[in-house]
Amino acid sequence: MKSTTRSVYDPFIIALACAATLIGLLFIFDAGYARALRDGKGIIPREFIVQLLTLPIALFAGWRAARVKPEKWLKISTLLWVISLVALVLCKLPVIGVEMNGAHRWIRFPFFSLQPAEFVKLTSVLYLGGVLATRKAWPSKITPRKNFAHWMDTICVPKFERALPLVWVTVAILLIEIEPDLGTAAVVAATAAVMLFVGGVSWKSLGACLALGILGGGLLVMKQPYRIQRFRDHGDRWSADNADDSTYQTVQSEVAMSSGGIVGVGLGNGRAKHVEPATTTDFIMATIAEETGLLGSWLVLAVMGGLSLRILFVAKGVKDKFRRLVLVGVAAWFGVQACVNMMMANAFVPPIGIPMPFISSGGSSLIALWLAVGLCQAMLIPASVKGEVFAISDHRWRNRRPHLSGARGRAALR
Amino acid sequence: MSRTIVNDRLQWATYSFMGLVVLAAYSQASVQVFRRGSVLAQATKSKKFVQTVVDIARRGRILCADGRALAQDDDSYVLQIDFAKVPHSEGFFADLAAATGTPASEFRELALQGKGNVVWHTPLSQDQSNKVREAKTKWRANGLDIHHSGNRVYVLAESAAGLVGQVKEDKPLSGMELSQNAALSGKDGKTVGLVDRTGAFLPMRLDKADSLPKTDGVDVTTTIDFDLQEAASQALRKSVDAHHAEQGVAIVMDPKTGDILAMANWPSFDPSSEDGKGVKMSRTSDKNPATQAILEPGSTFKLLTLAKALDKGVVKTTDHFRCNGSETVGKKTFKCDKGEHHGDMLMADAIAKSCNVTASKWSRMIGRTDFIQYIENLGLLEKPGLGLPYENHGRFNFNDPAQELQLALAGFGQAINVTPASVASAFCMLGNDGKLMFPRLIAKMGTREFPPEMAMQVVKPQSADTVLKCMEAVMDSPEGTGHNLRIPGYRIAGKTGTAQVIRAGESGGHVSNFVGFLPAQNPRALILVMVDHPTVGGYYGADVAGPVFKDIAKAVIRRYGIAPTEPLNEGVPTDVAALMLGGRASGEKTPAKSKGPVALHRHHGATRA
Repeated sequence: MKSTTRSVYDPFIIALACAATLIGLLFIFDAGYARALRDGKGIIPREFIVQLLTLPIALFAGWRAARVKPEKWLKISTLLWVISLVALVLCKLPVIGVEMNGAHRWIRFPFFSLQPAEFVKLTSVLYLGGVLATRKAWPSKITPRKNFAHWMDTICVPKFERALPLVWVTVAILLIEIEPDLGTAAVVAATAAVMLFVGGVSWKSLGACLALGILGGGLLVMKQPYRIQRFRDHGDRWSADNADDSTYQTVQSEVAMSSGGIVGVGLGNGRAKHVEPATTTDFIMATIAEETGLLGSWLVLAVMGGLSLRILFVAKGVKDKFRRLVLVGVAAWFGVQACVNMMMANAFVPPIGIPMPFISSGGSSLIALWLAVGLCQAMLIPASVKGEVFAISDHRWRNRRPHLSGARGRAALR
Repeated sequence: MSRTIVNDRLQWATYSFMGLVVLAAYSQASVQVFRRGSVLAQATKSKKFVQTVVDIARRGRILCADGRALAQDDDSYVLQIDFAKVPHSEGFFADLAAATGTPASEFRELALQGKGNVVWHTPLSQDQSNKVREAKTKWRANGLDIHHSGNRVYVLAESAAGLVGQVKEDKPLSGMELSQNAALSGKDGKTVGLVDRTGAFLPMRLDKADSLPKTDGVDVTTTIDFDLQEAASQALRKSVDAHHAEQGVAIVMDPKTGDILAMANWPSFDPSSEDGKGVKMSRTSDKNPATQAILEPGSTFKLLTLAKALDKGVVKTTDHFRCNGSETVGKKTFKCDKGEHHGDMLMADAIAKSCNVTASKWSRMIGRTDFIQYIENLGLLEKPGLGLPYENHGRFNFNDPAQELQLALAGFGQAINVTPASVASAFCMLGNDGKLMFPRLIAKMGTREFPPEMAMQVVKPQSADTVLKCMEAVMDSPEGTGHNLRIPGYRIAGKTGTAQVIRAGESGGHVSNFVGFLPAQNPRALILVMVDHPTVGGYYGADVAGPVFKDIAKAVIRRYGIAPTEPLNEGVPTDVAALMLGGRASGEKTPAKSKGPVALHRHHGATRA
């Protein structure tokens, strides 16, 4: 059989991702130039150059990912997961890992470094999708327990085996959390939760996960009380002590956004870029909102929300469980990350380091995101054998009619 | 799991996600629109939005004529650390130690003790302060503050406090600091703009429209001579303390220019002491009586009366005057000092013996209109115009019903009130060929110069010269009241005065005066001393004010290196002697001066006194 895969199955997703990436490039430059000038490194910010250099790599990676068939993805999902877990451990090692500002988030390569946690977002989606799609249904009737050994064989061990992937995901989340990178850990956790929910995990199990999550969270807080302090400071972020210290970023971002108003102060006129420390990453929304106003921020939200909703929308039309779960996972990842980033920047929630997908600067993040976009396209590759193609085109954007073009389409219809 | 469950759950996930998007959209609108006003208000309130920093202008100095400072800001900085708000890092302490010279261990210990605010009063230099600022930026040490100490240094301290005045906590309180505040203080600058976390301004985001560059205060250069000011103050202090006087004033002026070379008063205060009241000894300590007190000039005023009488031609050097010890004008009788009968005497004798009766005759000979015109010309009834605060002007009652008596009394310095500064300025005319100069205290303000300015020719040069010689007679004549105040080798012109003062509620007292020129010919300096209410050890001008004059005169000699012109312990110069003899060929009364040839040898015999 001839390989007939294409790279683009849903141009909407690509278009929205492109739009977000372009907005990102514009504002990375805009938000970064002030610091670059102040540091005497010329007008072009380093973050912008990195982003620009990474973009072709990211696009290429996405294009390659789009051409890998879902079956292949399913097959390698566990392998990718193991690799990413190993990578997370490598971050902590002295020579291979890079320490920056007390955080161990990077793995050193010649000429560049990568942030494995960004890729864990992607591999966790694939891994969980694979696990949830391929697991067998729990037998509806189980012979009553005869003795302990029988109980172990029929209930305990199988149950544990079923839950084992979740343990691995938890390990990954903890590894990211202790980097420390609370934001990425939270995104992975949230994405996993959505996938478990949509993946059809029983309410009982979901409840257990939630309970364990709360328990684990509680333990983390007890161990490091500064996390609670963070919440307290956030409520009191305008006090003289906090505004210059722990809540400085939030306060400055809030001020910048407020001064932007509805239409903004105009491109390049913002103040946030001068005062925010994470001006091109976590708090890039401060500059966008300040300079383009509420209209601009809503546009960003529309692009990112639209992207997520579009992926969820196409996911509904996909019958294959693995494909659907991967699409849902990616949508959850993009959507949760975008919304939480915005609410964090506008001080609705306390600051947790979550960047705006596609828009915030970050090489690893951009590659992972475009890989995910490619992955979404790959999940829409027709199953190539008879009739399956209709399943994909159920909810295609053109009049809900089969949309097939070219010789391959006609061949499929024949 | 059935497909329906999955699809339902997907639907729920989608709805939840939409809810999340709406929440994000709402929260964004909340900050940017609904809560906009309150956020911005809060930002402005907590100085997170725009910050205004006042750039304090440097206060100008008050300088002596030679450029030495009388008052200046010291260029030091004070360090203040709130240890709760600085990094407790060895590196930070090390940087701080390198910048300040204080050992790092001291900072570390204070930090360990969990101290709040600690202030270092050891002032730092400009250079050190810059290094501290660098450390502050580098370590983001918000709890570190460094500011200009703003200490004002008064070099002459209490010796010039009455004149220079005092600034306390940036508030001018007295003296030139107060009156020249506008020039000295300059204008504070203001920088408005965005600041970064460390509080440093962002150069790209400065508000140019609202920012103002600071204008430093200008230096005010006075005509004061550093050494003479100090000497005058010391001499005055000695006398005021010895005689338990209420207060004293000493003014040294250059008769040629009207420059105030020294203006001292005692009691005084230490302007740089903590409470600013240091050695303040009475209610008048922080006043400058030279321009604020109005006193009867007393006997010394006879000189001015005589100058006018000579100038008008109503009195001649050869005229004889008769004194019966008292004189009745109208219904009132006034006496000479101690009721002494001076008898028949020459004009010069009348000055030397300080005869009130004769002086009252002179003023009446001048006539009321001319006399009033004269004292007005001398500027006695005006403010001295020196640029000092609360200057007073002299008083003369133009509506006194007893005009004749008033004129008679005014002739010897009663019934007229003047400020010491203005009367000193009037006396200067005698040493400047009758040309009155406006008194000058401020020579330069910044780059603007105030040159000496002549007011008018008040009397003819000969008249002034004659009065000067009469003043020499005061010193040289054995009967002269200033005889004991001579300085060997120098010709000195002087006149004592003892004015009786009657104040409301007080039993009365005296103002002991002395006015003199040094040298008597072509004088370099006029010295006026007034000591108010001496209570111990006499009250006569010669006893109380005279020694002050002598001390200051010696200082003038040292300061200007004036060479002696007379043989030591020799008699009266011939020209003065001639005046004392009223034109007689030789005088039995003053044998020493009759040696004709002595005059020729004077210059050879000259040695420094």
